[in-house]
Amino acid sequence: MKPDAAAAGQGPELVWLVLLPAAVAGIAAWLLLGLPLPGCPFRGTTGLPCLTCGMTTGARALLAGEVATALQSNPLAILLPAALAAFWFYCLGVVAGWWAQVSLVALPPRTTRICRAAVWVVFGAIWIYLLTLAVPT
Amino acid sequence: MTRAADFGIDWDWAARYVWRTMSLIHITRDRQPLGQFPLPEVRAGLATGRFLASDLAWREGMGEWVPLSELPDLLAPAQDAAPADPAIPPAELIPPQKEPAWERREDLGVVSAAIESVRQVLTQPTATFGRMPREGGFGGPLTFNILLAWIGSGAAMVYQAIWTLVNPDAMQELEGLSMGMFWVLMLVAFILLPLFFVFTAFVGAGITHVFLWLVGAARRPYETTFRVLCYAHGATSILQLIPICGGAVYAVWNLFASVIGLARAHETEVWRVVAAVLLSVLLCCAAIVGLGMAVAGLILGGGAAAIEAIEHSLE
Repeated sequence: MKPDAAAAGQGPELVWLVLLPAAVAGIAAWLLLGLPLPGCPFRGTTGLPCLTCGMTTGARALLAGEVATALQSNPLAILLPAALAAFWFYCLGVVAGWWAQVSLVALPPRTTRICRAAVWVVFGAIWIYLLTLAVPT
Repeated sequence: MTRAADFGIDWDWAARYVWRTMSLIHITRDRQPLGQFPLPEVRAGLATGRFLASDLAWREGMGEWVPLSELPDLLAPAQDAAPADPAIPPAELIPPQKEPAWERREDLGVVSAAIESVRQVLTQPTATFGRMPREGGFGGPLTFNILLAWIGSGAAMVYQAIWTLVNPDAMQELEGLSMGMFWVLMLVAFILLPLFFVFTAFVGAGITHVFLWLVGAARRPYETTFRVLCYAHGATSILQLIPICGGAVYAVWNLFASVIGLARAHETEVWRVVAAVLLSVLLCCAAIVGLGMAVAGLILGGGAAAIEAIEHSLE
């Protein structure tokens, strides 16, 4: 779709384009420097893993190129970087004028319902998986 | 209709509106105000008996109240009176003022606008966020957030430093860090705080917006979420100036103002916003920790690289 020239470059896409690599570099630097990691407050309070528990282990594994270990630690360790990478390319396209801005609130109602349900199903499935990992066998 | 909708200022229209307001005639009877009326309405009221010649009248520019029968405007021929301007809209079409006041900083001045915005967000969050433009750019709210959060967090750091210096146990936790290095670290952290605020503003608003969307509360774009969170955080950050309990007061008030602001700006139910905020905190604590790691990692990684480069050059 040919983007609206007036709309191109007016959103936060340019900021995300810079911010996302900086965040990834910062997290990578923290992990590579071997700095201490704070515990999960949710697990500390309830004894149960939160949706993102295991992502630090997964990120370390991913940095070492061990995709299977990362996936096993928490599937979000793969899904989230993949989603962020896709989002980064979307931002690049918007800033470059290749395609138009997309707003979550501007999606058609049916698409919104399907996408929302899909995200909840994925979150639910991952959390159940993490809970099963946490249960002592 | 665009005049009321786009918040644009039509100075010609505003001047005519002010002129009209100033020319209204105030009328009292038996020391009780009857209201303010335009001249044609007063003329008609006198003819129908609505107003009495003995009623007292005053308008802008007059030194004292006079009986209506002696009002100079009424004594002048009717055709000399200013004709009614059909272009002047009724009061309900007066464009609402943009809030918080930071949106009008070019007129009010930066300091006055900041102080007024803090007052508005802290004491009138519902009305303030209700009148906040949903879309109007990222720069203004971000600047407000950085400036005030820097002041508030700077105060919190000073209190923390004083506490560390006067508390022997806290000093022991620094594990032999020299006093000079302690102050250098505090100064470096203070200088780099704006970087942290930029990160947290964009990423925090991003996470919140996704969860608002997931619970069906996001009815406005990401920009609206960003603007609310920046104004709420910036204004409440100033509460950290309160010694001892300022941090706790700030945390609670920030949450309160954010929830109210998001509900008003997205025109949605408060419970949905509460659910979104709670879910984002409960399910994504690692994301919040990751945010801190990202900023600190950038700083420390950059520092480590710089030290290594310096050592290498000295060899």
